[in-house]
Amino acid sequence: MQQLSSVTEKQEPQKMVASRNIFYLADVSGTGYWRRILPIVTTDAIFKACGIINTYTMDFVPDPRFYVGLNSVTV
Amino acid sequence: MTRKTGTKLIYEIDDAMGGDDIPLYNRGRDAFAKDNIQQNIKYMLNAVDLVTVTTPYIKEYYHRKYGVPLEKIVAVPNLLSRMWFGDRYDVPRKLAQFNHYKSKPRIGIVSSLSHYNTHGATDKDGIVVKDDFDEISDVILDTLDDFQWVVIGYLPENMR
Repeated sequence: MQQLSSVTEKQEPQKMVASRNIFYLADVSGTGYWRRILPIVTTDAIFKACGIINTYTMDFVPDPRFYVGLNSVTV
Repeated sequence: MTRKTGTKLIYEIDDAMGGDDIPLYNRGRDAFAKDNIQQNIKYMLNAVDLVTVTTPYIKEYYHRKYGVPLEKIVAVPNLLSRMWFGDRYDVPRKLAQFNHYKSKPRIGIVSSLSHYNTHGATDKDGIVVKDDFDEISDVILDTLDDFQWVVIGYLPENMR
C-alpha cells in the first residue's frame, strides 16, 4: 500500500479539458486546408495548453455515444 | 443527435452555394442547381446552431438566400488572431525582409483546382468560359519584372 500511495503522489496532476470539439473536413485541397487545417496545425499547441482539444476527421462517426461530452461539432 | 448530447452543431462555409451563383466552370455547379440539393442546404443551414462564414458579405448572402437569421451567422475572417501568435511576430526581422525585397515584392496566390476551368467548360453558346486565373493572368505576365508571383496550388499550362 505504501508503494502505491507514493506512486500516486508522484503523478502529474491531470490537466483540465476545457473544451472538446470535432471538425468534419469536406476536403483537404482548398478551404479544407487553408481555412481549417493550416490554422489548426499552427495553433494546436496553444489550444492544447488552454485545455481545448480539437479533433479533425473526414470519417463520419454515426455512433451517438461518440458525441457525449463534446462542446461542438463543425461540418 | 447533437440535441440529445447538448453539443453545438456548427456549419462552416466560405462559398456561395446557390446554383446560379456558382461559376460556369465549377464542376459542382450542376449538382448544386438541383432543387432537392438546394432544399437540403436550406434545411441544414437552418437546423444548425451556428453558421460561420468568411466575410460580412457572405453572411448577408446566406441570410438573404436561405433565410438564416443574421444573429445565427458569424463572419470569422481569414486570419490568425494576434492573441495566438503576436509574441512570435519578429518586427525587426520582418522589416529587414521588407527592405531586402521591397524592390520586387512577393505576391502569393493560393487556390485549389475548383478555381480553374481545367476541363474546358463552355457557356450556352459553346464559348470556353474564363476562370478566376484568366481574369488576372494578363496582369501577372505584364508585371513579372515588378513582382515575384508565387502560386500555390495550381499554375495553368499557359503560364508555365
